[in-house]
Amino acid sequence: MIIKYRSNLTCGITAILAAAVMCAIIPQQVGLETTARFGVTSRTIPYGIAAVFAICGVGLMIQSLVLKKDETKELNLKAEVPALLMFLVLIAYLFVFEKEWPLSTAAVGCAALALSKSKKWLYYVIVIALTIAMYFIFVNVLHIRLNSLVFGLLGL
Amino acid sequence: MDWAEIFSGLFTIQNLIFINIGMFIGIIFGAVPGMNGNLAITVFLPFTFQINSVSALLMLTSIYFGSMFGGSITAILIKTPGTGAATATLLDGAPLAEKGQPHRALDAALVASTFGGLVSAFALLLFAPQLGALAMRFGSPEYFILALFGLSVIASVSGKSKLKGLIAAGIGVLLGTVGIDSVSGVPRFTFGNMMLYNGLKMMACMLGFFATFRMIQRVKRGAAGKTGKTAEDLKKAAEGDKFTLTDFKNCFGTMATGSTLGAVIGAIPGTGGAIASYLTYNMAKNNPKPGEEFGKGAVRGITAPESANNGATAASLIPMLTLGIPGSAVAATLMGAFQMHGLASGPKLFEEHTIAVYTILVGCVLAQLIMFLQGKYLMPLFVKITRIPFRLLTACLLVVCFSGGYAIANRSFDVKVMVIMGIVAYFLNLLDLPTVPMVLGLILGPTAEFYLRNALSIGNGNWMIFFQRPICIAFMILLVLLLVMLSRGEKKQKQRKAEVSSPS
Repeated sequence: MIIKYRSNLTCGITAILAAAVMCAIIPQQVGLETTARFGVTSRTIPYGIAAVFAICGVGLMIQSLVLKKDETKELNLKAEVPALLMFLVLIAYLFVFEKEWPLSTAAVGCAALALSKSKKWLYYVIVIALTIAMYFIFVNVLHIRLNSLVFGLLGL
Repeated sequence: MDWAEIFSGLFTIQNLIFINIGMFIGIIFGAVPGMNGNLAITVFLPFTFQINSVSALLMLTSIYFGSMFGGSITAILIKTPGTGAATATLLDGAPLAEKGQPHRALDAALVASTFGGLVSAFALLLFAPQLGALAMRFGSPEYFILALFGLSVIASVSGKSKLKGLIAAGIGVLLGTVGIDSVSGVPRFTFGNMMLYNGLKMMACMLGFFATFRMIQRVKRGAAGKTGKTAEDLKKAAEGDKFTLTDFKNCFGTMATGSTLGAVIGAIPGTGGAIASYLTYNMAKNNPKPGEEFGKGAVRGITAPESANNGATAASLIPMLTLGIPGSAVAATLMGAFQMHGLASGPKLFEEHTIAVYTILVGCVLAQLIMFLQGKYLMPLFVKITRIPFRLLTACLLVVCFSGGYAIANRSFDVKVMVIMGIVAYFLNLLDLPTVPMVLGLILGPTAEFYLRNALSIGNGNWMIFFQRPICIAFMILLVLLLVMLSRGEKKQKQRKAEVSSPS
């Protein structure tokens, strides 16, 4: 399936939506100081950015709809599948790497190889070896603590 | 001052060995995404207690210099800058390496880094008191204008659409606002998450924008079987893969400007090389030489930011050594190291430890030459990275980047930020939003906001404070000139393109 979209128009609409969302969340997410403000508060820059988003968004929409200055892009969903699967792998990694760093990191590396259709087993071995080497360098040389249940049980 | 004693104290076998070790460590740490000179200095500081002060401090300063050059290696070879300043090097360095000329790109970076480093080291040696005094005249209004100066570069790194560049820069500035507001102390965009109170680490965001994002793209390319150029293509491109004397002559003026600018800006505490490297890149881009296309592998696009970036390195030690004010995280760590080795930084340092200090300062000059030699020897090794099979390199880089992401501050939160930013960058790329303005906004946005608010506090809310200080006025005039130059440069480039497309 191929999705066609106009780059400037889509970006313009997204920017305007982002500006609206920002205006809605700034009062909740950015507190107001009680001390002297001198014209610029902690909310000024966030509101300023929302304004930039809105103005640029409108500008991009004008470019696309009025000036007809736009580029039609194609998004081939089939070609995006490996990237989407990689997102899922990375998101899953975020849930496990704190408990088991070496295994999960090696798994991400191997998943990257598998998703890019690599059939050479040596590559997988190299990635696993590199992860283990990085783990030991971090723990023993740099003294950076990385959690590992497996190596912990093995007493390494 | 006894120069003979200084030179005899410097040129000992021990010092030469430790400068070399420090430089090697620095280059390696700088080249690994996520790691940096500061981490390397912190890790190796305890080992230096066993050696004499001068050798130890020479080794630690060499780590710092080496890491700055190391940051450009990954920017050029794998589009992942090791430091914020190296993002400007990526703009032309990566395209040149992709054309099959990684050797030329790395050589250009090395020559420019050495050039900038030497200018900076001489500035430190000869003008430290004067530059220190100049730095002291910088208050919040001046810092704000200087940050604006850096932000003005957004226009020239926005790619096809300036509006999209502005949106991208806005995203960067917005990310910089996350956490406790340093002026008022109120939390911003923390969503109740305690980890966000500390803000987002610039390096974690950068690794996300560049490394994670690129790795996802590479996985996609690998799956589609698009694994790079053929051996024939590479062989053809490799014919011009040398940094020639003509290249050096073409770049000399740019490197001289970049190094000087880097040395002056570097001497101002808290500025760093990023502003200088983007400014110099901008200046070079606005004055293109015939046949030069910036953003597509122009050699001057590498030498400009690299000379400025390294021009700021030794100079950034000036406020630390002369005034006892550390201008950056690395300077603060080095200041601690000086203190631990019995050389307390500050105005009296030069009086009380004249010989030791000048031995280290002359050693900084020597370190730049050693950096050049080591860079030359290590270059073939670095270039081999481009020869690693596409899919294997992608997987290995993912592992290295996740390790580096964790090493930023020893916390898993940065890895989470890195992954999320990578996924966000992937979608932003579908909208053609450029990444570099985002990083520029992230680096300079918070600085600009902090100093703007401080300046207004000093001036009781009166904006006229920016028009009452001579340095501010001078910078504002320069800023206007720069913007005029920018628009003229763009017109020139458009004219040239039009002439090329219609040769008749």
